[in-house]
Amino acid sequence: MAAEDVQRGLEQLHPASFAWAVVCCHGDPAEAEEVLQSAYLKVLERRARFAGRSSLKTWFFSVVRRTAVERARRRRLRQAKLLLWRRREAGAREVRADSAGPHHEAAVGERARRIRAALGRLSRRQRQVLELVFYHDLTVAEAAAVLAIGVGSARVHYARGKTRLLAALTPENDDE
Amino acid sequence: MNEERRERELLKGVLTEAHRATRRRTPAFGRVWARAAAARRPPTRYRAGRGLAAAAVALALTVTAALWTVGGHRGSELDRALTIAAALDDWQAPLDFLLATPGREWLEAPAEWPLAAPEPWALAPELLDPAGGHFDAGPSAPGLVDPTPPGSDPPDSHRR
Repeated sequence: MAAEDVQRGLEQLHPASFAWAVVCCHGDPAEAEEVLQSAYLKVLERRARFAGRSSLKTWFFSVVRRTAVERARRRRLRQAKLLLWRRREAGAREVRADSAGPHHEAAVGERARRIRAALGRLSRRQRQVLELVFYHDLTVAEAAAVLAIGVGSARVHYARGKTRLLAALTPENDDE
Repeated sequence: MNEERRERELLKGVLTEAHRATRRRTPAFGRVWARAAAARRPPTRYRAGRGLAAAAVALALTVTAALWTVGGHRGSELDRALTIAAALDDWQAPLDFLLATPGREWLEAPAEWPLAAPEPWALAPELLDPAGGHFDAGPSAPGLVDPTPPGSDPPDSHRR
């Protein structure tokens, strides 16, 4: 696939890529934008190459997830170094990140509140698998490829996450 | 089947609603791509320079190895042999001190007499025959005593 074709494909994927980056960044859109930029940089510098073994979407989502993990790891290291004398600032940043999440603005009204609470009950893996399957229309096998886990493991996360989310969304279980 | 589809629609709707704010905040592709392109490291010249440097180092290593193989190898063998020989010359056995006994120096060189031993004819010049220089060691020679008594066989006559 030529570089121009990859760029065109990424442009079409861009909104979905950003949504996926937000999930990978625990709901922080500013960090998601940085992650997306770093992922594009990897493509430009050919550190990430599309070999055509999967769909462009599966491949690039995998790149985004790896980039988010790398950035989070670096950030944790930096924060650990600065923890002694910047504890207060680091705490404030986390609060900012949480409050600036994509669901912050959606938290207007009863339904949005319930959705946020229901999604909050999922584990990180369950949330990612459900996002990939239901929001990005990937198969479970493709979601497993994006998350670099086995298909069996992805199926377990999918089934448990779906059950838990449905249970949380039914009114009788809404104890929030 | 209908139940499964209903669940699917429900979950899709939930996640779509959860991402409503995300969609509004999605940055423009051109802006993010342009920032990534600006952050890109200088590609061609940097890599070409790095390739040239690697080639120069490889060439220098090859030339050095060739020179060492062709020219310096024999010389170094000789040097090594000389070094080993010198080391062997200086070598001392670790138990050599046990041999350092008193009087050892007398064993390290042949004994030397204070005076040279006199030649026999210097002691008895009359034994020399003045006519032909013939040395006569017979019993008639003055100063010499024949050990065998008269009339008996000489000591080794029975061997003949």
